[in-house]
Amino acid sequence: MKKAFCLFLLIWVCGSTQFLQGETYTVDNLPMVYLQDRTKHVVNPDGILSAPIVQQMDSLLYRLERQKGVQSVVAVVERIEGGDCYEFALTLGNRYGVGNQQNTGLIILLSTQDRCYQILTGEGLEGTLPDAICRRIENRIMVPFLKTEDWDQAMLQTVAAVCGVIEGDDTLLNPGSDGQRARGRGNHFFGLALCIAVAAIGWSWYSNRKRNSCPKCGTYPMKRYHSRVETDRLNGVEHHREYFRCPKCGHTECHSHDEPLDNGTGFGGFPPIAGPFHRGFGGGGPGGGFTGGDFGGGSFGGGGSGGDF
Amino acid sequence: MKAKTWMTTAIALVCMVCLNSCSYNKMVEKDEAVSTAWSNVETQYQRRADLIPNLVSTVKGYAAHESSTLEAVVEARSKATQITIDPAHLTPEKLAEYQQAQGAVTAALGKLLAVTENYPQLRANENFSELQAQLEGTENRITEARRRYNEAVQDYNVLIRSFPNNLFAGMFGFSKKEKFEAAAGTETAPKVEF
Repeated sequence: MKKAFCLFLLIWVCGSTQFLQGETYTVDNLPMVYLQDRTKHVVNPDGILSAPIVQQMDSLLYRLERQKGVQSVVAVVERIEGGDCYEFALTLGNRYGVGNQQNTGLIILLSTQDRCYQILTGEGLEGTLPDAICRRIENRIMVPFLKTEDWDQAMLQTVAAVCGVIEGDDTLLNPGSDGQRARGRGNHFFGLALCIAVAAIGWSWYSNRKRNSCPKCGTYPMKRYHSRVETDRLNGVEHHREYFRCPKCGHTECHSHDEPLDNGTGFGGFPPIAGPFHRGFGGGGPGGGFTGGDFGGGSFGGGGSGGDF
Repeated sequence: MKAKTWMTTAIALVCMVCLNSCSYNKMVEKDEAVSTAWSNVETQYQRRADLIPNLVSTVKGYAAHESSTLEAVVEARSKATQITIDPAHLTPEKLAEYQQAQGAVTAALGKLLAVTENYPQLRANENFSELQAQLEGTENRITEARRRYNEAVQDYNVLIRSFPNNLFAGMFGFSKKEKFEAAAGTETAPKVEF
């Protein structure tokens, strides 16, 4: 009985130690919150950072992505597999393809138990954020806070400094930002609408001219000299007939078409064409909540800087 | 005359289909990928070579009497920069020579950085710290570039050595390419004795 109790105690202590230590994260089991919500860039599964700090960092990084097209992941965990922040960040970045087509991805990783950190820059960001600048930010801002185990300030100040450097680079543009994408879509839509309108006007003019030209000598326009409307109440239609004569060669022609029976308003009951359009546009708004983001296939060549504290 | 034209067109079409089916275009594509990956490797090594003079002059300011270590770095650098390889003629011997020369630079740099541990003032210098960061970043880039080169070579080798491509590869002058191997001496773990 005593033995069993000791065994139980041992298992419980081991279990609780494991729980206290937190999970060792691999690249595969690290929760990438950005994929569920594109406004979330900070991965904080162990709750090391406080919620307001995470929110501030998220807003900074979201703005960075919108303005400069820099996709970023900031991960703060207790322990990572292998204990090497550089290897972990590189594998993470290349596995998920953090960064857009310009390869301006950014990963900032901190492992508090392994006591290592890494700022990893995508290949397109190496010019804006060279290794030396990353090291300077780490030396001046990040490491002093890390040494006092002030994880919140270490990460917030680092993210703010990195954002400051990137935002100061005017050469870095974001061709894929939401605003520009929306503008791009707007421009495309406007261009398409203009084309359709021009084509419709052209077609209308051409068909009208063709209909009113003399088929024999091509004179335009033919003169209308008579018209007649026959009402078929049984079928609810009106047969319209118009008679034209060519002023040049004297050729006569009859144009006829049917219309629904006039209901007294002056407009024969047109089919309700507005219905489907109303329905079509009505449902097009953004749905409730945030949508997940997707990484643009960026690659990392090993740029950036990192170290131990 | 007309029949002859038809014949020529048919032969051309058959040739195109054959070349396509024997993955000639694919081989060209993979061969180019290897060349690009090799250029990237050379670029990264060149980047490291460009950093060395700056590093040496910074260290010299604090540790002038480490001249033999500094000279070894400069010498290894000048030897390594003399060797460049055209990706079209990437023979195993040339690659080994290149790797050896660059390995000598790595070793000399490692020794230099180990020596700098004895100079706290140098370690505290921000300029040196940033240079070191650049050097570390470049070493990381070299590792990554070499990995990508090896992947490109593997893709290429698998393509040209698999059937039926192997029947045509030699005919079109596509031969097996060499990968980067781990540096000599790294296959066994270092022994630590107290």
